[in-house]
Amino acid sequence: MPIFLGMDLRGHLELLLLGALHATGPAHGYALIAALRERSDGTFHLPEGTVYPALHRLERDGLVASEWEVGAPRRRRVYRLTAEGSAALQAKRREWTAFANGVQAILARPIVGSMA
Amino acid sequence: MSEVDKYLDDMFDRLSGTGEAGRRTLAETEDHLRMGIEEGLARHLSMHEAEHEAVARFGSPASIARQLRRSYRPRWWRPALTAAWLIASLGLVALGTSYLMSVIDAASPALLHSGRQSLCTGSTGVACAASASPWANVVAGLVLLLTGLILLAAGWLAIHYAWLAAPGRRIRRLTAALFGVAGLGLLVSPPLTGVPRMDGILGYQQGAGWRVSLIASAVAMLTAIVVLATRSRVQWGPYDPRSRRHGPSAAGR
Repeated sequence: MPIFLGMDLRGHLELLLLGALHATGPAHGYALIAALRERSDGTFHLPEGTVYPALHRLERDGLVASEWEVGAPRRRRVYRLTAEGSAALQAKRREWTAFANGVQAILARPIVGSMA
Repeated sequence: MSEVDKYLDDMFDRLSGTGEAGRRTLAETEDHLRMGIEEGLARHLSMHEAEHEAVARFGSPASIARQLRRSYRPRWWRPALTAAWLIASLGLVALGTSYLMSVIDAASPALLHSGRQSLCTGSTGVACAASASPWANVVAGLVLLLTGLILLAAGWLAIHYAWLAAPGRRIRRLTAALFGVAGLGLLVSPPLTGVPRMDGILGYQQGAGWRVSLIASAVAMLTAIVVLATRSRVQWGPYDPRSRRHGPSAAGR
């Protein structure tokens, strides 16, 4: 099951991070991981370090921006959604909803004939 | 040494050569692990347990370093464009050099007595350079050479300003392999004159055509060696001309 979830997450991590950033507002990596874990009720339990390459990719694509937090006791990089990131999140959310509805429509039907 | 310090050292080794992106990831990793430890201590774990848990939750340094490198890999068309630029410009330089060297070789007194008349028999290109009007061929060689050099300089500027990807190891190996194969091909194929005579080295007479082939082959091989020997300074992330730095934060500033 964790392997399945891991495979599933790989293609959607960026979308989840955009969603988490939208929900939390500007946040550092650790807070984003916590938000992902809490909001998914522990379903998305991924290696925490994988979040940083994904955040770097999002920044490279202009969907998030980041800067070192000033005045923090430790050097801390804070990420925030850009306008492009918000637009991308909206578009991806629509795609995801349509996809999830389609999967749900198929999986929700009771399996007939396998329990003889 | 604590488990976190060992982990950070390992991560540091694996991120070598990634420049600012790696430095930033290392700082983020340390910050993340320290927060994880604080959280563990708040749950009354021992220091050792808190460190172990924070490291275990973060994931393997090898996997994270690999993902980071992948995140900064250039888009596919940029390396393709770089490869095309490198092969075309070096090809022009090699061709121009071969032309000029063949003209010089043809002008040498020894060649006048060793089959110069046969140079253009049934052939075109570099071989003919030696037997046609020498000045026209000098001009042709110079034009090819200068065009190649200008193209090389333009490409270098394009890389400097991040419009093109820096030629990585794969591109340099591919270019070197192409020139190497071309050099070998010129050595073992019939001389550029196209007049095989079965009494010389490699099955052909050591005449002017063979010399032209040898020059072109040597230039191609030399180009392959130079390309392989040239080290490329890999630049990570987009280039910000204002700060004259590469990296994601340069673009984000």
